[in-house]
Amino acid sequence: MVNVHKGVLVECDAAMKQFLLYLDETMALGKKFILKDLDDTHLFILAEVVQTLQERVGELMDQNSFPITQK
Amino acid sequence: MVGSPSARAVSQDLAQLLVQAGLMKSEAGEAPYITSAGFQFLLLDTASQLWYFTLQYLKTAQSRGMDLVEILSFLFQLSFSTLGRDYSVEGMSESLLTFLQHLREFGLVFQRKRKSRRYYPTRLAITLAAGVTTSSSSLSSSSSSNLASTPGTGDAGFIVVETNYRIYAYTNSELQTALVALFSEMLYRFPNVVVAQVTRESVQQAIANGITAQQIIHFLRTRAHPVMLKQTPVLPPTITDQIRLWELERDRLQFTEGVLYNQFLSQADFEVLRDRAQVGFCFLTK
Repeated sequence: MVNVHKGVLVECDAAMKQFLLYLDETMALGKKFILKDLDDTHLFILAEVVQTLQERVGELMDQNSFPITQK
Repeated sequence: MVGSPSARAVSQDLAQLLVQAGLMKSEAGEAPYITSAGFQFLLLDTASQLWYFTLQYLKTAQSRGMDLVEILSFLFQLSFSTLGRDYSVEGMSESLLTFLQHLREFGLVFQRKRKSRRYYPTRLAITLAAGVTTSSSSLSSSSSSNLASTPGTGDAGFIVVETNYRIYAYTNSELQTALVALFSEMLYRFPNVVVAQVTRESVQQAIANGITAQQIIHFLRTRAHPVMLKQTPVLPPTITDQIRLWELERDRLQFTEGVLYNQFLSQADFEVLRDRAQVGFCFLTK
């Protein structure tokens, strides 16, 4: 029988995908949210974690940025 | 109406128009607050703002019980009238008189007193007709845009953007200062200059409010100081690229709602489903 899952398709670049896999493995969001790993740039995830995921990505970007200007 | 040093309360009609145009939203019982469309509106140049507002007004005019044809013909008359000459309110119907009062609040028409029989079109009204052409040409030619944008606004370009992410705005106006503060951090204020810095936090704050990088860049370009206009391209490419990059940083992930079908029993089933799907989805042949 065909299995049907409802979720959200995420498209991103390869580096971001690795970050999402890392979050999934370490259960950083409290649970595993990746339903299926589709290919290098696509993932299928649970629908409800979308908001928290955006926040986590935002935090990652903040960690990797540095103030380029001096006041 | 905007930019005048005295803060006058706007009339009820006007406040309602702002809400209807989607520029402000009012929760039940609370004062209205600005929406993201409102932020975008603020960063447009004067001619675009004027037209946006006029169009919104015309849309709601019908519901007010005013005759659209009359209003439109009067509006066109106004934009072709000569600056400095006065016109009489003779023979204007009730709805036209109401329209005239609204125009007075917008700043398109000047009248000594509410009851006075004569009115003068302002510079802003004259640019209504000319406005559309200048806003499109300012993007292509940098030298003529400054001349064209002065009649309505009164300040020529006044912003200098440096490659160290600093913005110098040579202005006294509260409005202009507030607009620059929307997407940058204020550093110093002097009697005729305001120094601000464009930082990652400030731009991302603006983006969270609903302003796009393109609008910020357009805002800076249309108000660029004549000194800036001499160099090509007008704004330093480092700054424009960096603003766009900061916007893209937020968009690293794209979400689309979808349904996953897997473990097909037969190849034929899979092929039928794949052919029927019009929307692009990703499928794996594992």
